Amino acid sequence: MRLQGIHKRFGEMVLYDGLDFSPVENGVTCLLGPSGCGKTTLLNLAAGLILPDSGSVEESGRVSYVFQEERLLPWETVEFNAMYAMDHALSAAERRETIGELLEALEIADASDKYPAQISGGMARRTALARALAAPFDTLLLDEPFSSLDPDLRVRIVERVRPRLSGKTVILVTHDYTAAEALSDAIYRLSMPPVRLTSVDKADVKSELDRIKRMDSD
Amino acid sequence: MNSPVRKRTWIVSSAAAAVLIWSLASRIVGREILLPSPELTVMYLFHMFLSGETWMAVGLTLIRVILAFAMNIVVSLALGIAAGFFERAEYALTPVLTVMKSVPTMGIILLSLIWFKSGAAVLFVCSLIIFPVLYSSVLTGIKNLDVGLLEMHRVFRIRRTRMLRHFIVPSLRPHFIAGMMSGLGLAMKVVIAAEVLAQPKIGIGTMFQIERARLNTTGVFAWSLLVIILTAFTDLLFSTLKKRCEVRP
Repeated sequence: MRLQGIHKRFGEMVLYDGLDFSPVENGVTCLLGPSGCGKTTLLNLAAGLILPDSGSVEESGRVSYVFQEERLLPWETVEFNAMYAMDHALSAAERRETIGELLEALEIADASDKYPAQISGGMARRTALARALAAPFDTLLLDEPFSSLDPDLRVRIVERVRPRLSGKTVILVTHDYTAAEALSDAIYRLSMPPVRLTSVDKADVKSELDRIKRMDSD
Repeated sequence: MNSPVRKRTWIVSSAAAAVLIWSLASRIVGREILLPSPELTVMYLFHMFLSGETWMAVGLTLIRVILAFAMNIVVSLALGIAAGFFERAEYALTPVLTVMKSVPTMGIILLSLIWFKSGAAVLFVCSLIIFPVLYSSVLTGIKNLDVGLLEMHRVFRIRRTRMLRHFIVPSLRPHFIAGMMSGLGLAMKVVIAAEVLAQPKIGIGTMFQIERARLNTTGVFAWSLLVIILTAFTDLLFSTLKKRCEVRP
């Protein structure tokens, strides 16, 4: 996966003016930055959902994605939604077993036969996460995957997700200090548009996040 | 204010008022051949129920409506989905739809009588009338598909058949049922009108024509009442179906 010389504007606003970005191969790259600095747009470019005005996006294989919104099928159950993107070369029994374990790990197994309208925001978030983790992928895009989870649960979920990401190319967009520190191999900070990427030392994450929080509240 | 009881009270009162006005009017006119009374009409309707011919006519007309519906459901789904996803298909179908919507019903009926046998003519006319309604409902449904879910299907490379079954068809369901409901009343009317003119051996329209030829106005009223009851019943069926679709989360 490689984004090169990306230009993208929305009306008058120039979001990217020749942006280069390559995530760590087979590792987790974390993107930090204030709201509105084009983190989600970067993921959408990587997923091929939007095209740059100029520049190139080299995709590497199949992409899986936890979108900013859950994007679940409202008329299907949690279990069905989680299984929806799985590889159909697997037998139904294998798929059920894998998803059962995953829902268990994400602590939503009890809700597996509920519909999206019947579950909380945090459960819907984890259903979307389960779907993305169960799908076959070479690159995984995560847009605030742990939002709307309470702090204790978030720590547990991050711990259980971590082994499932090893050896995969992952781009993680988050405001969450715990997740960024626990999961990332490389961390970048995005500036306000036109976006520049700055590499951030893992040790500086906390102070960096505090700074971003201050920027956000300004 | 909008409790179900109150709603029902209003519906029943309105129907009762209509019957009352009808009854008064028939008394004022005083001639059965011009305006039969409600009592006489209902009695005639019961008398009709005893005859096997009535049930045959109702059955065959309903079969024609259902057949026309079944054909048009398949065609309008296929063309509606195609037009929803491919603008060229939508543009290509626009003039066809404009003609179908604006051509006078009687004109189509007369033409189809020239072109087809009576049974086929009825089906043809009915299709011409209900296709635009069903097609538009499918097209509206496709245009209103959730963009986020569409993108989700693209990213995860979900197979088209799976997408059709688990995303598109369920998304279209409420639009399509609404289209079916408005199409059904229309279809009943048009099929009967076509039968009146096409005169298939058996059918509600044919019975209308026979009663008219006998100058039996009460018969014409009784058949009309029967059609109203049939349409109300199928409407009820569809609104129950619609409610069930909506209740499911």
